[in-house]
Amino acid sequence: MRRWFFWLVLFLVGCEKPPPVAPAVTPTVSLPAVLAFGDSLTAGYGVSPDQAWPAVLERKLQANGYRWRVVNAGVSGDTSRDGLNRLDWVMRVKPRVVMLELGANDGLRGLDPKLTQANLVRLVQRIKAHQAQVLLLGMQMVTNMGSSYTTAFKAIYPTVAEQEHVSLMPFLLQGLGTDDLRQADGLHPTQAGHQRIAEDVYPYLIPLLAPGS
Amino acid sequence: MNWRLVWADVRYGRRTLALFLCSVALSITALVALGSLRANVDQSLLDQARGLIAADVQVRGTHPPGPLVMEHLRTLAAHSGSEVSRVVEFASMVSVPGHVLLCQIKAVPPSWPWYGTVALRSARTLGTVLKPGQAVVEASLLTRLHLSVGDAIKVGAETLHIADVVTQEPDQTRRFFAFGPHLLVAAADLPRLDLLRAGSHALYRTLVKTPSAAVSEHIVEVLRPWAQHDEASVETWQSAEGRLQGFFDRLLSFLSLTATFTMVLAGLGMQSTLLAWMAQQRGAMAIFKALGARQAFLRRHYSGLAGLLTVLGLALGTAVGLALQFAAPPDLLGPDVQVRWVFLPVLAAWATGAAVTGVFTLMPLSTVGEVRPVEIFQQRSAGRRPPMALLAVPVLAAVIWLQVQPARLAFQFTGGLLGVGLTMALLSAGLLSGLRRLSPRRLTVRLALRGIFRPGNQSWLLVTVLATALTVILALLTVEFNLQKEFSDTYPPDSPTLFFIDIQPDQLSAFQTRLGMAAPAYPVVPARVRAVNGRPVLPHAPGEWRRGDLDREVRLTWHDHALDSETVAGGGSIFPLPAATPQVSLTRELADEAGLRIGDRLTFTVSGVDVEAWVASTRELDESGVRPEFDYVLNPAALKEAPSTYFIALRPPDARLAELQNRMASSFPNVSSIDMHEVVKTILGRLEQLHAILSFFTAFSLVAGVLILVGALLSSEAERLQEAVYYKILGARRTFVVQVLLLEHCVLGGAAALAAVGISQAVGWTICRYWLDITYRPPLGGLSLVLILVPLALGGLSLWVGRKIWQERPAAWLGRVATG
Repeated sequence: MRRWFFWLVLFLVGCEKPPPVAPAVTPTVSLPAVLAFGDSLTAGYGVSPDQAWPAVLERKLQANGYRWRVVNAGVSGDTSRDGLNRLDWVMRVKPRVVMLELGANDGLRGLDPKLTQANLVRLVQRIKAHQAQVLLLGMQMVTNMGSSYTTAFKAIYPTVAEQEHVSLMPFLLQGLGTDDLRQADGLHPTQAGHQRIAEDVYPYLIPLLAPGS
Repeated sequence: MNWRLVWADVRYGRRTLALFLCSVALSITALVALGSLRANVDQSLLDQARGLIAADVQVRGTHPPGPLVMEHLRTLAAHSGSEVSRVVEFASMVSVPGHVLLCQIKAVPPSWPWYGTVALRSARTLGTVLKPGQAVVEASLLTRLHLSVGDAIKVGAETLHIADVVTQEPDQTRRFFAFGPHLLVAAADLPRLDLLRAGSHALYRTLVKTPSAAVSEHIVEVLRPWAQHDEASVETWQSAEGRLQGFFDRLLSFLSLTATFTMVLAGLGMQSTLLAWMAQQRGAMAIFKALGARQAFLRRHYSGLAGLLTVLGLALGTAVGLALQFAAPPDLLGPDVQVRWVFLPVLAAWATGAAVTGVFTLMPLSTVGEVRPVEIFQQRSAGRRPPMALLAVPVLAAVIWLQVQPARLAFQFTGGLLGVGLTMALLSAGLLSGLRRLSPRRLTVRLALRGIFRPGNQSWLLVTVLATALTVILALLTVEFNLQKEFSDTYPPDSPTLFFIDIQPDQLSAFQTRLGMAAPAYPVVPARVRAVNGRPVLPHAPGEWRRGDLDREVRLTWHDHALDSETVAGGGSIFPLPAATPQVSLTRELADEAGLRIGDRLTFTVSGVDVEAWVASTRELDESGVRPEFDYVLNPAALKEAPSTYFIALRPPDARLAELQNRMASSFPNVSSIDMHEVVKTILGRLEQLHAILSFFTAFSLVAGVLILVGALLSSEAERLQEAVYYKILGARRTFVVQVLLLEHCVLGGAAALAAVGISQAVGWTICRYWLDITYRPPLGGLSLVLILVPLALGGLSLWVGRKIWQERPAAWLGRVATG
């Protein structure tokens, strides 16, 4: 009877599934922060957080001797107006540089490009008010939205960068030409795609990390 | 056969024989109508299911299939006689002077759709309307852009003319959440629109219509590895909507079961009416035997008569069965069910009906051998049933096996039916044994109970047959009730049809005011679980995401109390700790799958900022209805300052939908609306139609039940008549006889109802839980009614059927007995 009870207890204990967690690690919060502020392209939709381009970029920076951390503040589905709503919250990490990647969802929902542009201008101004530098990551709209819409949309990012005097990467997804870099939905980057984005963003970011820039 | 004798028998036993005829006819009506209707309904349901992708097979991807896939497909199609076409879906801005609107465009070939129905407002067919240069649009597009049919709209580089309004289309339910109304254009117009080129994003659906399911499977098998290289998926309608296909399969099997149940019930009806008739004939048979008639003569005579009536019943049943399905109001089965003449099911019904009639008439006819000439002077009831009745079991099993597929289900069904019958026999014996021990003071009650146990009375058989029939009917009705409940719970009539998303906190109050109608707003905070008890969450195992994977993006919400749709499962209350302590309540399913427990500390990262909360409780969600469900609910203290957006779900009147969207879009351009009213309307229509089909099929079993009841009452008419006369001779009045008769049958009805309610719910629970995979809820109101009405109905029916008994004058009866 006792033996039976012993096996039962072992069975029950064995059935209890622990959550999949790693051993505790020391946080790196003391390092200066670069904030990746964007939507699903930044959040890493369809891949793990450590495969998303901000995490890849952080590893690349640290491998090259840059003692910076990259905080991923991407939220899938976010529009530029959503960005305005959560800006004060994300600025709690006190970033020195903000990589601003928003607007794609505005375009996919057919929002007026003027509205998106106005929101991005407000975002940049408020980020600058927090004493942080801005790297504006440009976006283009899918051609099926119609030529007048895509043309107006494409013009948003250079206009904002010029008007607010901030750095601009013209098109974040420029390097994702081949299919193996995009997921089956045709929009989001694969793990390899995120690596490519990190490579592409890196040269635009480095000048902003220089002391006194 | 002696025709004069036959005619005399028919005249004398016309009431009972008419019932027998009705039972045979009902059995055939049910089989013919259900068999051929089922074939039609099967076809319609399959068409509807195929309508989910409007094809047998589809290759689906964000690029057109590559040349290798297309070459394979063309070869396969040529060899198998399949057809191939392509539908392309994408979003685009559609404009008219002064207005621009995001729309969902579907470019379709002239052959689309192969399955499912496209309904246009003008009632014309799509093929005659949708020509190059024209568009067919959703009604809300007209309202939102202030247009009418005939007006022009700019789509890409082309100006199209609106030719009609689409009110229903296949493969619509898969497009659940879509921004903007949609419009159909001719595939031939695609190059001129100049929207699909490098940098575009569209869904390419290459559709295949195959001659058989085997061909579909073969095409999928061959194409799948090639399509994977193109990032495309290959699916049949079954694999596209696996859960739905499973539901359709089980629904069709349920209809088969209903038809077979009805057949068995009608068989029991035949048996009980024929038994009643044979009981009435015992005197005549005894006289024939006394006059030297041989057993073989009597067998030939009664079998011949039963055979004659069976042929008449078969003809009548077939006529009624066919008439029923062609005369059924079109609304009953829905516009999609096309009634077509099908020969095989009718033939199968005839064969099955003849076999069933043979089985159920065998036992009553075998009573011919029991009758002895002495019964002229001493009336006796039917004695022990001959073992021949056992023959019914294998024959019935064979018939069920032919009717119900697959074989495993037929086996389960036969076993279940036998189990129910045996349980009922034992339960009836137990209940009657309990009644036998009662010794009430009142004379009427005492005599009623004695009547039940009168030697030769068929109370046990009556209760068993009645309870079995009731069990079957109640089990069917219970399953039907639960299916209907499942349908209406899944999409209740007040299901929201319009969703507004991305409402910013500073817009919420103004938004609700501008909306002008009450609608709850739900806060949403996107986040990820970063750590559990300070340990980082590991990436999930390769493959598809599961609910318990913690490394995915999640949507948090907050409120300070459990909602109506939530039940606290663990932790006592939703947030048992002090209000200032950050707490999170998890769904029990998530907690179980992710291995989280009350007391764990979760670290969420909300837009890069960590938020910690203690797991304080678990919740069960009421999954009925269309309402938001959140795996993680935090208390306000935990998420007070986190950035959130709101969404609102509401059901405005259909006529106001477009105007409401226009009004809100002009005031709050950043807020997006998702209009699902067409999709919800389609789903509700389908569910109502399925319910009508189920009700139609179950109604047959109710009619069969009444026939069984009447037959069972008639079978003991002679004994009761004799008893009533004795009471009257002893000075009893008519009221007394009525009371005894009524009470006796009320008690029998009560016993049968009680047994049937118990067993039917066990059967209903098993079917719902293990077969249909739906929640079981007892139809309490209906069951209470059954417990009250069945005894009353049996009592009332016994008075009506046995009116001869309480109206009979002793002198008249004695005179008839004396003269034979």
